[in-house]
Amino acid sequence: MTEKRKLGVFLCHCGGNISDVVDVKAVRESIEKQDGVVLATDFRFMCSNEGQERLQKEIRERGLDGVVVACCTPKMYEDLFRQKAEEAGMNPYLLEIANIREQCSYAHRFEKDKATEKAKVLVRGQVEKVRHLKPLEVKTAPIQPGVAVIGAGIAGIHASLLLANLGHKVTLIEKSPTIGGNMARTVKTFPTDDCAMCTLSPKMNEVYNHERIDLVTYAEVKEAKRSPGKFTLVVEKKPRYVTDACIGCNRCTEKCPVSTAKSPVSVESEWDQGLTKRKAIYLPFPQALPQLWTIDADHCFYFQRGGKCRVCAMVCPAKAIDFTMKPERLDLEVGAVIVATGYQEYDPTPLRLYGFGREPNVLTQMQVARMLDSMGPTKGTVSRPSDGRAADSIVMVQCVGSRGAPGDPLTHEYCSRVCCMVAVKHAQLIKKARPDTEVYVLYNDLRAYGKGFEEYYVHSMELGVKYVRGLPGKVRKEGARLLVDVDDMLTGRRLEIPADVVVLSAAMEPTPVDDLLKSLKLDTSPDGFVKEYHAKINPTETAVKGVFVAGCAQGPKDITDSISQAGAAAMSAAVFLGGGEMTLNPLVAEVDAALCRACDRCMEVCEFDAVKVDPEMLIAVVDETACEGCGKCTVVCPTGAISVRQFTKPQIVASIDAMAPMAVSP
Amino acid sequence: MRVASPPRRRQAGRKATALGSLAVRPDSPTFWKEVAATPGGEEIAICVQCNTCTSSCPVEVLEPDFNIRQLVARVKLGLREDVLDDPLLWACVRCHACVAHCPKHVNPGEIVEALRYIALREGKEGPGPRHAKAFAKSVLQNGRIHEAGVTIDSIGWRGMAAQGVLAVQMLRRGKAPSLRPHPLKSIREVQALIAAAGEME
Amino acid sequence: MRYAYFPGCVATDSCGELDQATRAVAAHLGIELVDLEEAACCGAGNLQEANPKAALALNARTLSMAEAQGVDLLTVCGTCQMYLARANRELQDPATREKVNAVLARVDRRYEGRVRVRHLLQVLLEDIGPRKLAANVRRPLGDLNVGAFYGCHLLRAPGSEAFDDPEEPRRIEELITVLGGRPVTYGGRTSCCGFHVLTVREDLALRMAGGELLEAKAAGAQVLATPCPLCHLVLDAYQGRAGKAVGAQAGLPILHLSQLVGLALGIDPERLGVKRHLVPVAPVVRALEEREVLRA
Repeated sequence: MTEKRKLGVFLCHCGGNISDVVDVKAVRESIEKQDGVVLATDFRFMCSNEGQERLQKEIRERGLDGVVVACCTPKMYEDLFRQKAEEAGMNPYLLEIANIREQCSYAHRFEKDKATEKAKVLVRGQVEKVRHLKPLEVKTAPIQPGVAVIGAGIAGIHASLLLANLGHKVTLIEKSPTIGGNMARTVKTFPTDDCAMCTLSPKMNEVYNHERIDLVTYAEVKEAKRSPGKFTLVVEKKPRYVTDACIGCNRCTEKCPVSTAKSPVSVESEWDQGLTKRKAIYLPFPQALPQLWTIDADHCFYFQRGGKCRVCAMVCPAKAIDFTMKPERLDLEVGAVIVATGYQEYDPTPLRLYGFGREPNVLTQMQVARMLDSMGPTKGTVSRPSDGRAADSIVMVQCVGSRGAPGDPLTHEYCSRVCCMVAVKHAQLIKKARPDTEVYVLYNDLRAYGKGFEEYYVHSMELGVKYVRGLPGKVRKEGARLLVDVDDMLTGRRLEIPADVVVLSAAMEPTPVDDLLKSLKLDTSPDGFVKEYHAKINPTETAVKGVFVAGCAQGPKDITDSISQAGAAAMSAAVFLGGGEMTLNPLVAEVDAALCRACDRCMEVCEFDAVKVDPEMLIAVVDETACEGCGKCTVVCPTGAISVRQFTKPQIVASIDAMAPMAVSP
Repeated sequence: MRVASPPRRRQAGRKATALGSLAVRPDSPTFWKEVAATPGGEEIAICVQCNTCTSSCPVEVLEPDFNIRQLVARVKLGLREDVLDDPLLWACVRCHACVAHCPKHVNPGEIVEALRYIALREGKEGPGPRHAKAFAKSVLQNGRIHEAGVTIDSIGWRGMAAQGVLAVQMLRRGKAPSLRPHPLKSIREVQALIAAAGEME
Repeated sequence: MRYAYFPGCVATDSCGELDQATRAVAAHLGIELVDLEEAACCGAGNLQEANPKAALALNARTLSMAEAQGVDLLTVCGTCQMYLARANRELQDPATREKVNAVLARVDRRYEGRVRVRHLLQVLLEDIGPRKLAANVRRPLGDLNVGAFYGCHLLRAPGSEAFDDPEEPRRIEELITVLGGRPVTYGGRTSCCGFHVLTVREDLALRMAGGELLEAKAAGAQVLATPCPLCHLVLDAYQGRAGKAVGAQAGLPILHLSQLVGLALGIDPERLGVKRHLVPVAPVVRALEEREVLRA
């Protein structure tokens, strides 16, 4: 381990940042006598061209086989110095940085003597470590080409298009029979009041027709396995029982007996948020893509009642019904995965003071969105479900299910971000359609943060929308109408507002995809959304290398932000896939097979799914494409079999042994 | 940090039901439009209730129940009689601090003007309306303000008596306003103009 | 220098000394005041509430009178400045002006929007100018601590921001310095005197004014100068009652701007009407007379 080494120590003055506090000459004098050190020199700016040339010159001329540069934080120039060392003929991983700036001269500005002593200790420690280092090789690994995008809402669609246009093969997997997600049913988008389908449909069609996008709908990812450079997904395509021969005439839907007045079985329409019923054979909405009808086997009389009912097959002019279709299994190998599984609306039934579920005329914003669709269940008018009459007085309640108590299982602690704008949107759409309707928005804070949002909100007041600051204490019945009790902080009055319809701005929840997340080894944040790598600085990567997240799956956001994030995720995925090969960082974990006893502990603690016990060889194997070198495994390994390169126990202990006697007391 | 000390009396001017409930129902949902169509009230719709106006108000510091932001909110919500019957509507001193500071240029001080105009038109009574009517009468009769006449019409002889020795002091200094009105020579022109102005949109 | 003079109603009635002093100062400085004898009241906010259309028409009439003389309008009252400048601003809009002119036509008048409404303070500092003013000073204000009470309307009338900072104004202090005096600032100098609620909520006005007077006193002011006769009425005539409302008398003499200037110019105090004030001005006059400088 400790053969005769030729170590060089380069001490940087950093133009005074170090040398004004640390007596660099004294440090140099203390280190030049150390065992193995053949050169100890100091310089004003090691990072300058001159400094780098100096480094290279000394390496070449003296044949150095280990270097310590005592300077600023390794985050600044470690890569650069290693590159220069390599160019000069030394293995780059035999170079270490001793941080005598941020961790010494900056931290102990006013104690120059002690800072100098500390610098001596730090340099000594690194010299000792370098003496124990081995040269390392940089390897590459192939990455499987191709990306799987899970979820075909706006985020998934946008990411798919970007990647496909960049030349990547994309498999876009969608659980429901049609793509489009929640955006398709929002009718209009704030703050521009664009028709949602008009902006979404072109993208949907582009995805549908793109030669590099393989669209797999009515399908779910059942299993996901990671191996170096590759994800293997098992996708199950549910059978529609309708073939491509379908011409879209709709006769089957018209004749299907399910959900008719006399039928014992009826299904609530997912598309219309439960406001209407649908048949067992259906097209989710007119612009659905693919334009294929689907039979919902769970509610179809043929499947549920012994195969007697075949009405759809009998009336279909194209003979497109095929009850014998089976689920199909699709095995997919991709290099990267983007999770874009979106959101669903919180069910406010548990919050009994608002009366959702108890009172027919208490609705959610997504239901109102359907009502505002001129082709929807109420042809564009917000009406009372109890009797179908148009609502003359509408009260909207914000923050339902959001901004709740920490630890409350019935509500979410977070703010759902978009509901303020949704309420403003719906309120002003209602005022524009029926100006005499009274619309009240009861809020806690009004969050109109984005571009054009404030102007949109102010404009809603010019249309006559009324804003009340205060959330209600009760929604109760008064005759045929509802009465909302609310204390208004703005007028200082306790109000009783009669309402035909009360609309709850319910929270945004992540779509439940626990099984998917488990197979991908993805974590969720405490709020239930997919956990991003870092909430502030890296919102599109996840802890699992190669898996990215975009859209509302990661957290509540509006369409604009979903698109932005999808773009970022697509770019991250593209960078990751690179030219088909990834360069592996050698400073990751490795296993000494002789010591490993396959106890599984390293596998249990690894957050990056980077170490697995091979069941046949009974040895832990590190996937160097995923390991981040965090060292958690090394802490729990009972035998010391697993260690992180350049941070092995002997190396660390040697360093500490060298430093300990010199320790500076505070 | 100093805090205005008099206790807040939320009940001032509000009417309770027989059972004592002070809950109200917004009964005039188009009241805000009426105010928006009155000179001074044009921008009422865009008030976001930021409270800069009340924070700038020299009256609120002494009389917390006079809250201009709240008054605007009550108009926007449709509490018409609540606003027009409120005696504090006449406590605004017209200093225009709120007008100068409002970030949205809503002109709260001028909304007060518009509300007072509506209140006067509806025949509301009280010391405030009385003064405004006295002033207008003086302009109509004299073209200018006959201070003594306006004062007596506004506060009455009892009010004058409550002024105590002030009137005497002013008399002694020659500061007392003239007891006789001095109408403009062209008062007829002024009256014709006032009548004609009534026909403007 | 010629101006259409609009003294307003109070300046020619209970604060008649303001009109007197203004004329004396104007004569002394060579300012020609063209009387608008038939001009009606500016409305003072009250007429704007009772009959907004009449108020606009009457102010348009006043402005048309000044325009007919080819001169700007000069005010000596904060409230007149506010409501005339407001009307003038509204009348800059061609549609509004045409509407009003249709009515003015019935009394053979017309307004084209070319008049500026300016207060005496502006005219003194901008048109006369500090140099000429200083050159005319015979009784420099000397050791006298003079505080300014701006009054809200002058600071917030349309167009005032170009002349002075409404939050931290300096122009009256500048005038005091030009007149050889020592300006004293205090918190309440930009606050409201409460005149406009005197007949409705006298208690509020008295508490406002009382507090401001005590603040000025505590800051060392020996006399206050104000550009508005309405503020003057409250601060001077109602000073006693205000003091009772806040529990302490300030005992501060209050001068109109014209009087302050007139005294500094060496005009006979009798001609400035200082004897009419309720809080005696005599001590101030005496102090100034002792420092009188005769110049050739």
